[in-house]
Amino acid sequence: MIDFRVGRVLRTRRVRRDAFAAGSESPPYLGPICPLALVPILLLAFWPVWRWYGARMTDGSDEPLGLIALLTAAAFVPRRGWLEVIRPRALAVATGVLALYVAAFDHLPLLVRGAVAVAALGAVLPRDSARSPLPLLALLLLSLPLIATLQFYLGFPLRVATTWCAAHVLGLTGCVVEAHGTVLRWAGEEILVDAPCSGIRMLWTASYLSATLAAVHRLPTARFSRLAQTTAAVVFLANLARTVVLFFLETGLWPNPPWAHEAAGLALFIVAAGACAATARWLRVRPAPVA
Amino acid sequence: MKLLTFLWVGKPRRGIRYVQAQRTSHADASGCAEATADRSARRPCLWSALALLASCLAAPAQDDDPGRSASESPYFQVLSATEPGVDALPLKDTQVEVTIAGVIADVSVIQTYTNEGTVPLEAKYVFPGSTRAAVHGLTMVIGDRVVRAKIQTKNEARRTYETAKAEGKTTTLLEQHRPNVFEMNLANILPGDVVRVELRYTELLVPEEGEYSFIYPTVVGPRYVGDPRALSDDSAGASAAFADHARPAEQWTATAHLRPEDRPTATFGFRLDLAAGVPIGQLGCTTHPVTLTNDRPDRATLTLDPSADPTSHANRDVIVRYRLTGDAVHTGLITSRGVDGGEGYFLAMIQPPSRVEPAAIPPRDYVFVVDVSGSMNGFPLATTKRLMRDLVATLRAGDTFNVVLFAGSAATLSAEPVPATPANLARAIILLDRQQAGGGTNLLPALQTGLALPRPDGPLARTFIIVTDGFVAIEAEAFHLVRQHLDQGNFFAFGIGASVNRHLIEGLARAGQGEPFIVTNAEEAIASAARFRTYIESPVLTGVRIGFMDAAAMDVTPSPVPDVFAQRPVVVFGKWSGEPTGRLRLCGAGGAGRFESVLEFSNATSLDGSRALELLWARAQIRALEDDELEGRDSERATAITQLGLRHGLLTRHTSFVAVDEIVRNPAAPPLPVTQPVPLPQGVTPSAVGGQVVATTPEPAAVSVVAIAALALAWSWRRSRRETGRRAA
Repeated sequence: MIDFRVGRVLRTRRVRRDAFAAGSESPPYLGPICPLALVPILLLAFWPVWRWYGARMTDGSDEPLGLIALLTAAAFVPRRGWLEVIRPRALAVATGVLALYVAAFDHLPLLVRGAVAVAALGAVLPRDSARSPLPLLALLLLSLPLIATLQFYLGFPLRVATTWCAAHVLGLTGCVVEAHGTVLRWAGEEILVDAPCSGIRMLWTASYLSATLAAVHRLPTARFSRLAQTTAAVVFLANLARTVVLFFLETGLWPNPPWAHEAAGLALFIVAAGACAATARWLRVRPAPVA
Repeated sequence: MKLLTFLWVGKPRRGIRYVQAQRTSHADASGCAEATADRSARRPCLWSALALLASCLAAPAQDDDPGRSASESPYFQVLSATEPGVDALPLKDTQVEVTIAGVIADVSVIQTYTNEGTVPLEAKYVFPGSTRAAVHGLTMVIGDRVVRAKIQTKNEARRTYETAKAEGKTTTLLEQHRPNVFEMNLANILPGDVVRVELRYTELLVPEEGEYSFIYPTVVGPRYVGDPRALSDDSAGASAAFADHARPAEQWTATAHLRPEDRPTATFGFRLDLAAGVPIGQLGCTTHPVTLTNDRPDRATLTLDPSADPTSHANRDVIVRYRLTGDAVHTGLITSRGVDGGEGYFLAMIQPPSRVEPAAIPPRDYVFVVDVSGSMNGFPLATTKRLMRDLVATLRAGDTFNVVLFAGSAATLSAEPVPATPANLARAIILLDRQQAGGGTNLLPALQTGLALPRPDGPLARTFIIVTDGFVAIEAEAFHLVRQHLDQGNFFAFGIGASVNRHLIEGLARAGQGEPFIVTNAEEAIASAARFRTYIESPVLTGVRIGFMDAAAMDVTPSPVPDVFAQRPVVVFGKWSGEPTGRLRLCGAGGAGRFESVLEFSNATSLDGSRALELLWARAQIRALEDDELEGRDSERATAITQLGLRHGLLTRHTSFVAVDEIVRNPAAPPLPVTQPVPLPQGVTPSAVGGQVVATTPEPAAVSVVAIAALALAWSWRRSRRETGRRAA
């Protein structure tokens, strides 16, 4: 059923695009309900969110990496289209989101309010028709102060999973390692996979990389989804490999200089970032060969 | 699931067609075109816009509650010492003043706390003391107000402190965690306050080989808090005993240390006035630069060199050694009447006979238990290797030995004891030389491993030699284990480092009826190994017994008196009642035969009017009770210790000093707790802290990770541009 509906939506869109391409539909319409008018209104409407955003970026409670994603997202907003009439569906989305914001204001955590705000903003911003809107939306979401929150909610499950997998991988090397929650126990030694080891920072950076690459390569929605899944898997594997390597370094099984810890982490993230970039290039849409 | 499958397995060709369709358009292919169809098509758009505008008008009218903003969105609140307005290093200065009269040292330690921040503080500072210290006084000075502390039971003192803190009064609490580890708490230090806290203690100096030593420890080393599960595999029964006496985790072991790159800011001063009573032969400090002055042959003053950096001293023990002319030692009987005129106290120091080299030395079996944990990394392990070379070199041809190396786990040289042949000794040295210190300090499993090693054939006496820095917090368990296995041999302990846990080293030796050795540098290793050999081969006095004739003596300690290995006086404390009459007799077996020494109470030196003997006697009693807190009858021991502490005004495991300034100075907000970080002991590397806190595997720095992402983006973008260029060409 789901498959059928998605297919029908895509078919409908294709028919309309083909019609527009064939010249049977009119060119874009310029009018007052345009991004240039609505974006300032939305910015005003969501002012509590922006105030909170500014405070979170400057109070040291989170890493201000979101600013990088925000600047990147701004770079992908086309300069054209600020005076074109916003599509009804986009307008409906923005209206719905704003209505949700107003109705559930007291019940929404601040971060969710932020997500609602950037979703509304993303809906009314001018769009490059050749790009899927999802990478831009992903960049806007990544611009929020997410890392501390991800660490709080996602960090522990990731750490438990990493610890469990690392214990099994280490078992293959002959080390009898036990995983106890987020602690690796071996011969009386304990290696703790604590919050700074969860891989959340790598996950955020790789997600940012994927969203940006998807925008650069103009990946359609389905392929961006595949890239995002690949990124998540690659980051998890890289963090797992990092934990395994650092186990040997921290226990002294592999004598190492003081900089080896950081170098191992960077080397594995280079591999992960390279894998993401290669996947994005592989998924990019190549022009049809000239007949 | 179908949707996920679609998203992932979607055919690439569909995407190609999709983008091809887009490429044929020159504008937005879906949205805007629909808006141009007709008026009816635009009507929903208009309604949507009106709704949006209405929402926008409504939205700014609501604001979030500032009070909730911090709690509703989860984030890590960093309330660290680096927060603006917080003085994270409130301890500014420590001054130690020592006055030695004869064999009794009276020590005053003055700590100065200043709040240079803008918020009121509660400072916590864990600091060391002498293992022989009888802490008997605490005074707090704020401005011109002097507040003398009261001795209370530990729980009562804590309650007094917390109540005063909550009421906004400046208050201080001094607690004992170990006989040589104390914790100072000082609450409601207001911005700009200068608070001086002075604690006083007394200790007895006992010469060894004619040399007196005064030791003032300056820093508590990072304690390894072991995994209790490490004991559970033991089948010897000791683990069951430990399980019965399982103690909750102790918070004080989580001491804050300065990173090696951070310089300490607290200054340290030390002054020692020596009134020996007889001419002083030699006087010097082996650990710090000092200046010496002496206006009379029997008096001298020693201070730290003023030209040295005053913040650089507090990372190692201050060790002052002196000899009297002709290697004379103070011996005899000292008495004092109690302050209330009732019971009196006495101290007997009896010089044992001279050491006699025995004609024949029976072979022995030696078990070396050597610490190679993270805290031994660097200088301590290098010193240990040197010491071990010297120790194994002392073994004789008929001896046997084995080596247990331990950190997180333990490894042995051999499953059976091996003869002390040159080849086996070389094997042991090579095994040790290969060690790279790392991991935790699981002392108890290592001791159990050593105790479980098979004995050699024949009636060889066994000696255990433990070599460690002692940075553990399971002293009582270790003493208990040693006492339980005294039938297997005696135990000698070597402490390696500039700031050793002397409580463990001395306690192990005391429990194991052996001797402690402290090796602070490689040069001392040779002398210590030679002394060990001498002690083993020719004990000074064995089978020591104390008796009293016509003297009403009681509560004598130690009881029984252990064998004497070192050439130092036998020290006996006790109480007497009535008049100081009668005699004290000590007898035992020396190298030249039976030894007997008699001291007359009537000839005793009187210290009437001084509380020194009372305090030292009480401290000796408390030490005997505290030494083996796992021996059972805990409640009786605790009660006895508490009564001794309260009666004699001494700091103990169960009694604390608390002082409260009755002026309410901070009624508004509770003070911010800060823990005074201390430097690592000299020669100890950061791996000691890593071993204690367990290693972690943090991610690379954010800047590095983002830089790599930027490089990946640049690489991908450049390749795309090249391909576009090639296609265009």
